[in-house]
Amino acid sequence: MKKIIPIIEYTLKENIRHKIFYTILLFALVIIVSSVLFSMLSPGEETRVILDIGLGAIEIFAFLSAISAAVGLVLGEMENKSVSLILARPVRRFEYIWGRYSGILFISLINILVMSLGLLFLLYIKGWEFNFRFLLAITFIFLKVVIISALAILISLISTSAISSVSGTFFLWILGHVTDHLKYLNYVLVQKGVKITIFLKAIYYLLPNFQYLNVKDYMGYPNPLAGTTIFWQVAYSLIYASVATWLSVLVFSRKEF
Amino acid sequence: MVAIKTENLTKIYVRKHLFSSKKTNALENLNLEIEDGKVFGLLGLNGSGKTTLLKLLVGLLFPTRGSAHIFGQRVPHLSLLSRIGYLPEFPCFLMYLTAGEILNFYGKLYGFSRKEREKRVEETLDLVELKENRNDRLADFSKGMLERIGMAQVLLHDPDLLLLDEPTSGLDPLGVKKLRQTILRLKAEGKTILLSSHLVTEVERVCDQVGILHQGRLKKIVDVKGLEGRMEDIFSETVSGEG
Repeated sequence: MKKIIPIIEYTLKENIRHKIFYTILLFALVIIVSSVLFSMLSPGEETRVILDIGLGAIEIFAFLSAISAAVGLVLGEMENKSVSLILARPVRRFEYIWGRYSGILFISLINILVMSLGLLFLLYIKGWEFNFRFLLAITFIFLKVVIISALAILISLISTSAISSVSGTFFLWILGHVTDHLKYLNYVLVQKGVKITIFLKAIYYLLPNFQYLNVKDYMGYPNPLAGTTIFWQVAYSLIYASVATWLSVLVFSRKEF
Repeated sequence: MVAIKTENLTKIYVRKHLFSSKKTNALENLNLEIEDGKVFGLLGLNGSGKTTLLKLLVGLLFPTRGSAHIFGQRVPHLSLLSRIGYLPEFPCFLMYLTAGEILNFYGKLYGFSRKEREKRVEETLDLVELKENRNDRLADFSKGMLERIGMAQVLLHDPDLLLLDEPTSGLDPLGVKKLRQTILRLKAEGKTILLSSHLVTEVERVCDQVGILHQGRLKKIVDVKGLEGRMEDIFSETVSGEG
């Protein structure tokens, strides 16, 4: 377990020195700041517009940052074989995967915090009153990143190129936001006598359910989220990500370099 | 004492295509014993199985059949990796790190304390004459300098066994000479070294024994002592004789 910490440190160092990290961060901050312009189109609703665009930007750029780190670092290290110099030392393969994964989460957390501070600053200027739900929305964006990073690593280990890894992860991100439609599709098919319920159910449970974690969409709703709901949402995210990461460990343990 | 022992060690690569698979016998029933404290050279043409053998010993590849033991322990074994220094043919590093940082990182993976790491990093950088470049990023290093960093990471933890895959590739003649001196110094310290190379004369100069690999098979083991420059002929005869 001791070896995980140096791998986290080195993932952070590598990421922070990568230009893409700053590019993504800069783009995100530009979008967040530009939300002020869009807010002018909705007089009286400025803070809501800034909040909606800002949180949306944080989510998208956190996703891009996580995917670039997961694919770039894990797949990149396997492709250029620098991983062999790590595995030739007393490091267990699960330590490598969990170290890399934790490092990516760390960097995503930093990213999200920087973007959130930028957004909070804008909202503060506009006279927005702080709402605890903001923290909840940010936490749930991070939970989505927790899941997608684990999946990005898994896909990077299975696929053979950066393009297929990125597109595969992107595809899962999209699908994860529309899983609820599978339920409806199942309902329609059953009505028409087509019986593929088990198949659809399997897909429904296998795919990540990002809609379940979309707390930011409910920022304006008056009723607070129930504690038990939050508990199950957090538990779902952590369990899903853990299973995906252990699957990555399984795949990685069989890999030859 | 035996440092490395392989028994019927076999590695078959299977490349799977859509509806077919292609098998390549990279190493076939290799039985080899290398004594502790010796320098053993592996000679062979491209694709003869030299790199495969080294990777099997370090646990980067898994054998299809047979087994390998290092210092009496079956490979792969995590604790063994603290006693092995491995230099791949084309060592690739994280180019965003500096020379000092990469060695410090590897030092952490061995569990060295901060003080110990500092000392070892300093010593090994000095040994490969890169002390002045400690804070330079590896991305700015020349090919020869990267090879020297490769050697530094091998020596960092003072291993008992060194597995060097084509250590002279990328080195200029002066670099080759310095590497030879390093190998001879390590040999005098009692280290066991297994090195693969294309350079017959270089192998003859530093090795006690040489194994000739051809098409994944160990064809001959030659004691270098008393050969007096005939290694090249022996190698050519062995390899060309097999076609």
